[in-house]
Amino acid sequence: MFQETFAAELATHVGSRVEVATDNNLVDGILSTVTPNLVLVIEVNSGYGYGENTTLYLSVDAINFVRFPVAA
Amino acid sequence: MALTNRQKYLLQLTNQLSQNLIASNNTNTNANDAEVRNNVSVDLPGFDFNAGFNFDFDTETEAPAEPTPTPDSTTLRDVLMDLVNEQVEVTTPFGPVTGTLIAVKSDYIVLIDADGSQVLVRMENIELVSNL
Repeated sequence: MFQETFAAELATHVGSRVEVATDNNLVDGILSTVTPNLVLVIEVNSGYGYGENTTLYLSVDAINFVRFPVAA
Repeated sequence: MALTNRQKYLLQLTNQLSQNLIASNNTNTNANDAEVRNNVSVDLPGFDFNAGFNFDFDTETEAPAEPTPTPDSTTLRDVLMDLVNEQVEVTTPFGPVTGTLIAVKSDYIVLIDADGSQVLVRMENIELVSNL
């Protein structure tokens, strides 16, 4: 049901809405790319105005948890 | 090593002497009592009274230290495996995550939180686990 590793499981959710928590940040966006060491998230809620989709690279090692919110 | 009659007699006298000293100090404070016990000594010129014996004058018997119980689970992963299908709270440096633990994989766990969202928590960053 679930992949054996965290990165492999994340890779099955590419294109999904995610909330990624690191020690000091919570990134809300669309999961774009997953490699064994890096996660690319297109942030949709940066709070800096319209049309400002920021691309963020997160180290897999820095991630505390990833939440996949259910659609409202 | 066998003791001569004279040595046995001296040993008996010494035991009586130490017991009398301790008994007469029972009404004193524990500190005084310990001091008396620590200070009891017999000086017999030309006679090695100790002769390889260990005289323990301590009247209190100490209970042997109980071994610390070892839990069945030895790793965080073992603990989490025992909590599958339970309501748990795991704490990470970012903060706590609460939900039903549905899977434990090699480097992460899967929770379903209160609103039905799936949460993948990296095992490496789990600081604390509690069963709710």
